Amino acid sequence: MANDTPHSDSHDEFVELLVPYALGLLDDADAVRVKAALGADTALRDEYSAIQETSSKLVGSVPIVPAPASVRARVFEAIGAAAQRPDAVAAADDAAPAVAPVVPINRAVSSWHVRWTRFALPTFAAVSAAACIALAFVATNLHGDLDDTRNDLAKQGAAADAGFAPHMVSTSGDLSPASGALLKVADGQYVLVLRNVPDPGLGKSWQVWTKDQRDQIKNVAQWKSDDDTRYVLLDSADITDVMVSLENTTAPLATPSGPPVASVSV
Amino acid sequence: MAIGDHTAFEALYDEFADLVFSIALGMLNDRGRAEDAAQDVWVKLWNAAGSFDGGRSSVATWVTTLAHRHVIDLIRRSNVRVGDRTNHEPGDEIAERLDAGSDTEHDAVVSVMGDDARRALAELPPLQAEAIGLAYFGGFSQSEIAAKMQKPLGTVKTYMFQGMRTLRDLLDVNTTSTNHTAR
Repeated sequence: MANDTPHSDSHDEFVELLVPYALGLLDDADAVRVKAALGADTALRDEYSAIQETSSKLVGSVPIVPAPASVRARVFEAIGAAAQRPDAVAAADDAAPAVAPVVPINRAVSSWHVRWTRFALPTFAAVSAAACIALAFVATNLHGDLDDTRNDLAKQGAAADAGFAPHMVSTSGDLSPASGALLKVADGQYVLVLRNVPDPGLGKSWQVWTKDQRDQIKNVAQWKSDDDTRYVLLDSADITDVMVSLENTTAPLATPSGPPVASVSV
Repeated sequence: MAIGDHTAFEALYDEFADLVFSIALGMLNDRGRAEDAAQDVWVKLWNAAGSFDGGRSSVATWVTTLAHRHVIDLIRRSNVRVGDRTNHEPGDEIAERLDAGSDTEHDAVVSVMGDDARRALAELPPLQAEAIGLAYFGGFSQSEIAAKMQKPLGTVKTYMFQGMRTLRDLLDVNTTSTNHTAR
């Protein structure tokens, strides 16, 4: 990985991917690689910022047409309804934003050392394998805010690993419309990618769990919106499996209430 | 802008509502779809407010980027874009417009651009301008552009990157970039 080496091969490799990345035209694997590269290469980030600014000026020069008043009414009706949802109150209480938060590596994990419930463990264990990673979580739109991602990846010296075959995520039940894969970013560092994640429903949330080699279960992430693509960054430690459950609450649970709706072994 | 800050969001909306709608209308060329798209963009902006980093990009860039990406995604998903001339439904204004003209693909792309963009792109080598125009205003992928231009994919990538570099100066973009060279 570049590691702030402006003229490295990886910098040159990624620099021409920045325009399609900015336009959202890369496939998932390449997008993850670019994202990781941005986290480790200051010059690449500068380049990307410049491309974003240039794109904005280019696109923003369109002939201006006044927006209809009806759009304004529809927008504020929509966000007003969202703000009145019960889960919005819960979000305020636990300081969880309406969109999935960007949680820096190693901050999301600490309070989630829990045992998997007797009910869910057999299902989860069925998809177990072995490996070690400590988990962290970055739930962010691929083309959205990259700061925490890149800061944390930069700290870890993370690198995308194009030679790692993606591990496909098994989905079922309420998450069956989604598809996913586990991609390797660097040694002991992976990204869980879920596409077409549906809305969990009012008052519900998707919650992400990991199991380590001592069979300890940790809640590492949760969100309550639908997403074209959801990314969860897994950072090295003692984890063998990753799974997602659908919970009837927006608050992070200590233990999952049921079997997973998505799972993958590391 | 803080999450849940209605007052700040209203101010943001009032500042950029016309821009968002204009991007959607220009690229979709369908008022109804543009209104739907604009609404979707604003809801996304509301939901994403907490992720905005004022130190990294301007509000205008954030809003424009999100709106543009959303519209491009709509174009690609709906399969109604500049150059898609077959199997369109009645009332599909883009396809109808394309059916009506001769060099309509080029014309349609150019018609979406504002004066500043048109002037800046006119300064570029024609192949670079064509690649950027098709990507940014036509919603085409790089592979599709390569096929249309009958150029290798790598060449198209280079056109776009080099073109954007030149546009950076032409559009007077302030950047902290150290101006490293791509190959």
